[in-house]
Amino acid sequence: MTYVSFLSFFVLGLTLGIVYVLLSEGFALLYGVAGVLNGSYGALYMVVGYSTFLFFFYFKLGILASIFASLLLVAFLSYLIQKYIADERNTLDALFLTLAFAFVLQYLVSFLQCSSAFRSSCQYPAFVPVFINGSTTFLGVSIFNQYLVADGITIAILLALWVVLSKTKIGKAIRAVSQDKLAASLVGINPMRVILLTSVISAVMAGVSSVFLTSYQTLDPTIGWNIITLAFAIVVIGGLGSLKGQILASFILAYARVYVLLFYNPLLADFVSLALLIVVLLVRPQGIFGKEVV
Amino acid sequence: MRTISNAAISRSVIVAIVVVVIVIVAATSILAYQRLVQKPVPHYVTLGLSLPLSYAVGQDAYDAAQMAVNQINANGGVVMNNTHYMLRIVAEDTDELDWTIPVDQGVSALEKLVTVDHAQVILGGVRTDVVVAEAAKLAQYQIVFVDIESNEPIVECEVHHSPSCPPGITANYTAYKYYFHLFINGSAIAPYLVKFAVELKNYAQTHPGWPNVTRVAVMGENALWTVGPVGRPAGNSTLFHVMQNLGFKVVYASLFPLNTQDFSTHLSQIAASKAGLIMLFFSGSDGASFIEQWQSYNWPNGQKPVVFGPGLLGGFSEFWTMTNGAAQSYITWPATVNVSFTPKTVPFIDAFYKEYGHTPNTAALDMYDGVYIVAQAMSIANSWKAYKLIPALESITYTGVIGVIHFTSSHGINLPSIPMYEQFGQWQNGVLVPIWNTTSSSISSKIIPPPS
Amino acid sequence: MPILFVVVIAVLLVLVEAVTQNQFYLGVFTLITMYAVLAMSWDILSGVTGYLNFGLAFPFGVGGYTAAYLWTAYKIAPVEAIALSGLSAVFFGFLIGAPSLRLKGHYFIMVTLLVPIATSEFLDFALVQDGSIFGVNAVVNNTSFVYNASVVIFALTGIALCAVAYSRLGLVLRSIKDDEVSAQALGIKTARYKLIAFSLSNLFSGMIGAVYVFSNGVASPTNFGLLFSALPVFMCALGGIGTIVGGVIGAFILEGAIDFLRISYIQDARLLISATLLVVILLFFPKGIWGYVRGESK
Repeated sequence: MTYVSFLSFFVLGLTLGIVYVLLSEGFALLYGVAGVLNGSYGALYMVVGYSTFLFFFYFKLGILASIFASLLLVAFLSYLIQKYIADERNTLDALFLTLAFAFVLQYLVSFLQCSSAFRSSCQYPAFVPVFINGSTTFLGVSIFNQYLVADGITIAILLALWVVLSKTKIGKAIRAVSQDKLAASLVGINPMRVILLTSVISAVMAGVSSVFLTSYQTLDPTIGWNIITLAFAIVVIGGLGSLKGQILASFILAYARVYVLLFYNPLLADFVSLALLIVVLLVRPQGIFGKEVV
Repeated sequence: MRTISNAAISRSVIVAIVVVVIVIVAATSILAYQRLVQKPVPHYVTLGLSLPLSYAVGQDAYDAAQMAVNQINANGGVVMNNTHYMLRIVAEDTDELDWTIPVDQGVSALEKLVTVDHAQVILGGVRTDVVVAEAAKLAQYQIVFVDIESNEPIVECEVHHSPSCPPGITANYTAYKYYFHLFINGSAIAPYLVKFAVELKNYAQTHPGWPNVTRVAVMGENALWTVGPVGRPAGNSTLFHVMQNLGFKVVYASLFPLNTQDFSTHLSQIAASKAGLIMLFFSGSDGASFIEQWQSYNWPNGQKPVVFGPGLLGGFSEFWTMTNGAAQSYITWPATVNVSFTPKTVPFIDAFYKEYGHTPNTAALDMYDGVYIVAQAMSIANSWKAYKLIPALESITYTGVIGVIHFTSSHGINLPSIPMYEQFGQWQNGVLVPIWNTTSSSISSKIIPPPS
Repeated sequence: MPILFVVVIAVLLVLVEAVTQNQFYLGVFTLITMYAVLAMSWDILSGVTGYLNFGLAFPFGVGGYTAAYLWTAYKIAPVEAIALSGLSAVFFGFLIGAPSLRLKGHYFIMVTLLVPIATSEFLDFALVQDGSIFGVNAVVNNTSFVYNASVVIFALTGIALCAVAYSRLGLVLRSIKDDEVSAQALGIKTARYKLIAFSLSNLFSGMIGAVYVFSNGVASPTNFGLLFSALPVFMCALGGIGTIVGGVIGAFILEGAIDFLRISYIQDARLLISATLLVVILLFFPKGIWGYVRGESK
């Protein structure tokens, strides 16, 4: 490994790691901290991309206004999902319903994007425009400015989350609900409201990651599945409920992937990441910082 | 209590749902049965279209088929045995461009077209595994299938073996003779890529503003059609050996999985290798992601490498909007540009634009020619039945919009006489500008270097 | 009663073949039957034993590839190939499953989810020289055989799994679902029983995976696709988790919707309509349709 390639490895792994943290943040909050498994996380990520395009291209709002409107939309959607679809059911039923709803969203978007009923929109595949232009070279590697800003926002979110979860009343309420819903309600916390709030925050975080990342990629109704699989894996490997673990897991996965891409065989990067995940789960299922499996 | 009231509501809901479901099933069955019993009026020939109707590719192909059929019917239809037959089309959705949908939807579409819609000839096909599955069924129905957009030679190899065919595939002419392939098999374009690269080198070395295009980076998607041109491992192919002998140096070569979204590692390695030319091989949206990232990348010394190569989606009219203009200066093949591949090309493109508001993509041009070829073959054979139609198709020479079409022994097209598949175009400000084809003596002066 | 239901459906399916020889309809019923087998296979491990398997595409795909390989390399007859594919799925499933059955709850979900994805990535990498695709035209033109094979496997699966689920073995499995720790405390060797349920699940999935490949004439990495893992789960949820026959009902409803909604003006929307139908039914019938019919409440 030459010096140059080590630098590339370092920088690329770092950027990808922060991207993974951003992608899994919302899911970590909802599942890791509040204990709610929402199968629609990936679908909401996907919807934000499409709705940003909708507002930007068809309603001619500026890009920032479009992003803001999309985040509002997906927050509302998540609220509805949590309240009417996942509400008051046991985890399993809620999981199946939210997964099924994820498919509804996927096929709905696909239908609106192009079908015999919507023919003119076939010619305008949705995309999220790049809204922070240019690239900066950092230690010899070029990083898109938009990703740099995303990285900054991720760090800000992490700090905010850490502060909120450990120091504020609402954070403690969230953690209380994740530990024991009944006990939490006995001390005056309304678990349903707390969960609704958490799911809205989670959806907004998914949305933020989506607008930053999908600009340089292509939108497709199925992109949500990769996202939720990745987020789920990161949270489980890191240890449920542990923010530290989520961050560490993100970087481990990111560096493993970049290593295979740069030095081994780009075609095996996905396979190696998945195999690594499977091995970790088999060997240490509670994750890096998780509690012992009950 | 909750349980009781849930049950009370649900019982009537059950009844309602059951009734609705029964009505739907009954209605469908009745409609289907009527279709089954009521064969269409004898003087029609039904063309079945097996297409992904939820995607621009499918919709464009459908539109082109409709246009061809309208024109043929306006001119009296198809004459078989001194009787005029009108053409009509029926389309079934294969969902093939949704990679989470397995091949059975494509097979169902084919089966419905043949056994319920009474199609007599099938046209369509985009995704390779679906085409392979559909082609396997043709012998059972003895129906001709014209493949208009899939880019791999697998089924061609099953018609007639050739040295470039993969070892695992055996030919079975009796079973696969029904298959005809109008789209170019992607591995056949290698010689043209070399020619273009040489012309590009000559141009770049004599004009300002161009990077050093003799340093080549190879980026190939990991699919069967790139095994030939890109080689395995990447860069180890006749194409690149020839280029090395012509003054090029391959400084980086890599394969990437289909549907890759993040190319940051590749781009950083390409930048480190100081390549001035990237040869990019892709079919779908992975290419769009690459182009977006290439355009915004902070290239060392501000010297952005030129990108060219076979990129199926790259020539589609929506490629520009989908990359939000990042395709500027990207040179793609094949390029459906408003150029006279034959005297029929420009009138078709203009008419299509007038009718549908956008330029047709390769699937549309292929489908248009496909319908006409089938119509003409039926006239010659005086029948739509496969045992007569196949010999007619095998011997026909037809001048279409893509070129002069004559099928090879493996039922593929004869590349040299199809100008559309020799055309390279460059995206400039939203328009695909023709800059070279294999009959040009040199590159058009309209070509532009990558923007800095 | 559940076994009777299975037998009745099997008889009805045979009758369909007597009534129509139309390939499209036979093809649709073949698909429905296949998914019914998958749903029942899912149910015995996940619904009855409580180990949620989100990777049923793995044994399904393994069965398919085994059949494809046996046919193209050794020209093994379809019937034998199907049986061998089932065994192959059990074998490969065992390699992955034995270690992962130690895991509980969400961890098991995670591992099973990742395995088919990893496998299809690997196959994409390893097989591209041959097109990543096996052309398998053994019986692709013999729709009767494919249909009959599906119905036979359906009947076998249904009878076997109902017999297991509603027997003492089934009680043991359900005790694992209810409270594995207590079951172990009572001296039940849960590891062994979990493996039995897992192997049964893989056996039938593998066999039907082989039938799928023979029916379409192609084995490709999409055989390990998401829908083969997700649809059986939804079908059981629709019909009633843990009932075995619930999955059959769900298969008819969901796959029936997807395939029969190929009607001119709405065919583009058929996936959307099917997914919406799924959500609506799940909302109103949380315990599945079979659950309500039997007046169960949990």
